[in-house]
Amino acid sequence: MPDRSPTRRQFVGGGLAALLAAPFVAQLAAPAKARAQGRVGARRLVVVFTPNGTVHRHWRPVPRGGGFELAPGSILEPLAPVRDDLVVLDGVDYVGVSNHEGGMAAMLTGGAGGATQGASIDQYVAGVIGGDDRFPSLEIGVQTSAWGGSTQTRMSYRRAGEMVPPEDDPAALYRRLFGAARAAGGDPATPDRALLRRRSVIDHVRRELRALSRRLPSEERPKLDAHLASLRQMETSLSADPGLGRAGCPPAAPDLRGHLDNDRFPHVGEAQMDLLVAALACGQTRVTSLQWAHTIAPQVFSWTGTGEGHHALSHMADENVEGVRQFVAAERWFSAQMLALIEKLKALPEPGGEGTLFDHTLVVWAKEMGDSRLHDCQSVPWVLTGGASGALRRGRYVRLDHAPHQKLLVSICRLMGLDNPTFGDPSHGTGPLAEVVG
Amino acid sequence: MKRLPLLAALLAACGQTEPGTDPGGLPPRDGADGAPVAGDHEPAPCADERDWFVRELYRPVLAVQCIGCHTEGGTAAATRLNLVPETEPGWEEASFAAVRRVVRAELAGEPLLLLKPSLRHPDGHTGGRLVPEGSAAYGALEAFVERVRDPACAPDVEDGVVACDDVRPGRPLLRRLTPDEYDRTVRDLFGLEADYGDGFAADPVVDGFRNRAEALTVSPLLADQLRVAAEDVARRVAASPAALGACATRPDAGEACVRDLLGGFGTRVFRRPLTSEEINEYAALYAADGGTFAAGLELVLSAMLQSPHFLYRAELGDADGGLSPYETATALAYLVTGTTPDDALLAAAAAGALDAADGREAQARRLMAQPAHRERVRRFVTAWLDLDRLAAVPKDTATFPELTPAVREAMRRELDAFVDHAVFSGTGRLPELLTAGYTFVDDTLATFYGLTDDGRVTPQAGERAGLLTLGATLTVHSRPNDTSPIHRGKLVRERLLCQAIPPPPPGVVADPPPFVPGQRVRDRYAAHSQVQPCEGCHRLMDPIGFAFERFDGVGRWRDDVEDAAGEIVGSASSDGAVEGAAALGAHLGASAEVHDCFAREAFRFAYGIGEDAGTRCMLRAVQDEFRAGDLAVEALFVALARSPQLERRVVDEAPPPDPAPDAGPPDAGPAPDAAPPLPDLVVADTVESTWETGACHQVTVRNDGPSAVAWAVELDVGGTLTQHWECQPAGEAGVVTFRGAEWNADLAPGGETGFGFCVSR
Repeated sequence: MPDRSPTRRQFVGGGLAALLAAPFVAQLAAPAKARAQGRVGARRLVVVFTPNGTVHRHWRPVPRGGGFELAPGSILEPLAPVRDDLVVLDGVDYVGVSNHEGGMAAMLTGGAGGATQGASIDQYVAGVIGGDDRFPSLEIGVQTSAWGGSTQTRMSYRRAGEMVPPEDDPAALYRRLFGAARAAGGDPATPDRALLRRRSVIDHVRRELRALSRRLPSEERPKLDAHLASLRQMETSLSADPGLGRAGCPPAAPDLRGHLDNDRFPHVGEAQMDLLVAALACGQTRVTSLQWAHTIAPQVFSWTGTGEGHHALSHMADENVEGVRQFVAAERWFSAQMLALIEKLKALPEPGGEGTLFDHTLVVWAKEMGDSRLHDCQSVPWVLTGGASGALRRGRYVRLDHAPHQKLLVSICRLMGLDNPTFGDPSHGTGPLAEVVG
Repeated sequence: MKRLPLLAALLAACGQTEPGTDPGGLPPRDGADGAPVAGDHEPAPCADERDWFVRELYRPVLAVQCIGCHTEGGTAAATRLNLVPETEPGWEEASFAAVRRVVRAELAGEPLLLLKPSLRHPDGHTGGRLVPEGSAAYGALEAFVERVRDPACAPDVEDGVVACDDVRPGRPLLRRLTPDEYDRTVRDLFGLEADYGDGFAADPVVDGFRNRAEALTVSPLLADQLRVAAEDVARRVAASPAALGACATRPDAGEACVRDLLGGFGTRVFRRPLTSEEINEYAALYAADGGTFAAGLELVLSAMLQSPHFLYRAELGDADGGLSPYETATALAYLVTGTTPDDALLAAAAAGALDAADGREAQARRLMAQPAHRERVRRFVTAWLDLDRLAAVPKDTATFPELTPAVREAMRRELDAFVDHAVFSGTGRLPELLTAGYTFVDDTLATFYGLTDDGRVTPQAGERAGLLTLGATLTVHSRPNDTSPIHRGKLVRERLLCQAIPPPPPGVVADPPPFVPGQRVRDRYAAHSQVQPCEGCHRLMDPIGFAFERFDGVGRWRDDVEDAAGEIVGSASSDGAVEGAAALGAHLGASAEVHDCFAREAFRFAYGIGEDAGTRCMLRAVQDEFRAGDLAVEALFVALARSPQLERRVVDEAPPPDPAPDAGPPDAGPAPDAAPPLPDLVVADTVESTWETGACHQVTVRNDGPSAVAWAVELDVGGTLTQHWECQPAGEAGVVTFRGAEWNADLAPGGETGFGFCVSR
């Protein structure tokens, strides 16, 4: 149910998990960021979230020979056409974490402790590989914000407590990607007049922010520091090449109204996936995320023939056969969306390279909980896919024994060519999972 | 998972482990803040009494298992045990005193601190048996009781309640305009229609509101959205700039005109006069553009609308904490009207008329007569009851096909009309908002509700209860295809009684009760309101929600419900049984607890802060004024306007440190005073993970000696340190001496802690 009142304590500390796991972490003079120069790994990272855990019985693949099968009627079955591209991870735990909010907060961060300081993996990776891009990272949402920003509705964090909100409106996202961008073929050395004017405004505002910041008590300064960082990023995005003219770039503008309406959910998702793929094809970003709703998602999946909200469906006990059937149908629909995303990535050529976008992208499908009926975060279903420029050995069903997901997050960094030894709270686990990076 | 068996072995060796007794699912933890261990509570010197409490009881037990309910705003706030979270100032002292009180409160010679959580008290414990006898946590409670009772060790902390003889305001703040404030400000400045805010990235929700100053920042996405909005406003205004000033329409308008506008209209935009330096800088921006007057003006406006002086409301104060007259005017304007100060208010500021509470009250009363104040009150009520979600809250169209977008829109108008009437045409008192038997419907809504009249209607007696039975409230706080006693009860519990309900515990099957035709709703919900551990919280919600059962999931009256008997339990002073929503509304409207809660919600919304130890007395003063003002909403706004929060801020900060670099990089080699490992330390170094180019270690340290030590451990780390936690290393390669971090540097006899590090090689 919508918890509209996280207390100040939850807001600041992330609740129980943060209280339990707040090791004192300092850094030596060694660089805090993982090294990425000359990195060998996927060129891009796409993180996808879908809400409300799973029912393992209907999710687990069936091991067959050295590989696996996706049983008829199971949640992952719609992905059968790309089965050999998948790495299905079973047995990933968010150690010491439970429930919707806890899982959502820990999912991509591994907790607030450790050298990554509460950054989510998309933001961390973007910080290493995204700096030169028009958008170091691009956050895209599908109806994520009706309840405002909270640990329930946000998954990306620049650092502990600092949420990175997604753009939920396809029309606005399209304008952001292709609206104010520099004209195609324009020479960065001779920017057009509109860009010069925008830069002069940014310079002016920056001076004001700095002057104001000097007058602030120290506890208020982080606000303006964040604002300054946002201006820097905006300046980059206004100046950078939007990649118009490449294959798939620009795409058609989305023709969609009412992006907040429950029944438009599939249409919004389709439009956002198209724009996500276009942003990659245009070279505007290398790190992007797609967040479908949020934990405790209330959306009614009328398009899969149910009248109950997704969250309520996710709590149906096994004895409630019809309820579970409806939840599985909704989850299968999400699998079909993953398939659609994969196919869109496969349909476009890798810019200036061999193969397709898919071949050089690592796609991560994450959830916030394991068994939704139990509100726990054990054996949380994760799926990795994408060619990852050869870094990911695919077509595997990997069964792990209570692997702390901090190790999975380190593994994802490895697949991206980063060498950070820990991610999130190191007291739960460090280093990569051999089964994933091997 | 190599570390855990090791740790378990260590604990077992000490004969102290008590596995499986922790109902909170605590992962095993090493370190001084780990789960306490029975028998491990030797008396320590009395001087560290408070430290002992924090280390052995507060962090491992109270902060994990108790504070969810036993804290201000928690479901057990009204009990004797009221803990303060670590994020709040004064938490340690207040929590310590609170727990001591529960030790001194006894039943048959046994302290409540032991009786209640172990479920041995005859009245039970709402949260159930959280700390069984014999468990490690119980051992920690027992140890604390012994220490409190030891007369030789009585610390000099006075129990008691903080007196409110000094009403202090909050801290200096920047408050970014909310999306709603942005649009209203643009409308009032430029006379333009503006709905930019709808598309701004949603702000964080804190304590139920989206205007908490500390959470309102400018993300990269919002910066872009603000730029697009500013450019659009600037373009529209520059195309017909007459409203800015007469010179703007003259054919020879140039830089001199821009300076005129900055000196005049600029005051409205920045809510204070611009400094001459600012005027020069904006004029320079205009001059550098070198285009037409309109183009240059557009640029200046775009910059002003992206300026921090526009986007943030400053409530900073001077060196002594006094707010400037313009800061006060701005705070007052947004408090009362949700938009930028008008000319009269800015003039009052310039004349120094806002320095005293009476002056502020006079201006507040003037503004309260304006339509913008009505909108502000509607805005507060909407945010308070979370009714913004009405337009998009998902519903099953098969169950409720009649709930069209037009009906939702009609419900929105019903809400607005009702609030307007109750506050500005009715008694204007809070009870009317919760008890009114009337509402306002148009044709659409009358048809939907099955009423024959439209306009102001009073359905059958005893049916309506003001805000609680409006279509908007009942529709938002229901399931997509049904009512929801849980959601409706939670609304009342959290927003009218100001008690937070913790989320369901893990490991509970939270299947919502399935709909069985003919079954009474209370029977459906009985399962999870009678079974532990659900019962502890659901008894606080579901019985309240049952009182709403005569309304369906979209706010329509229905007669075919057997009963609507509800009950409030576990409140401070609002307990009681009611039949139906109207009776519930009457009950709540008469409750002092609800009155205080309403004032608290208004306080949070008005000031964009939460109450803490520093501002608690200011809140208390507002609550007192509200009560003294006969619970009139008007009195509440006047109290908020008169409060010291609009006059000054607390300044207690030392001058900000120079942004000079810190002491320098850590020592590159072994520290000169590196001590050898102490003989009584037992050290276990476990390689947590290893890969081609690195490894991470987790180390446990136990003090087997007879006295406390400041521990130090030398290890050959086999590479170069890249990370460490819960320790301070001297050196970064080869043999490194590790000492504890600030909080785990000292090990008591028998004490144990842990640290870790990673190396590259």
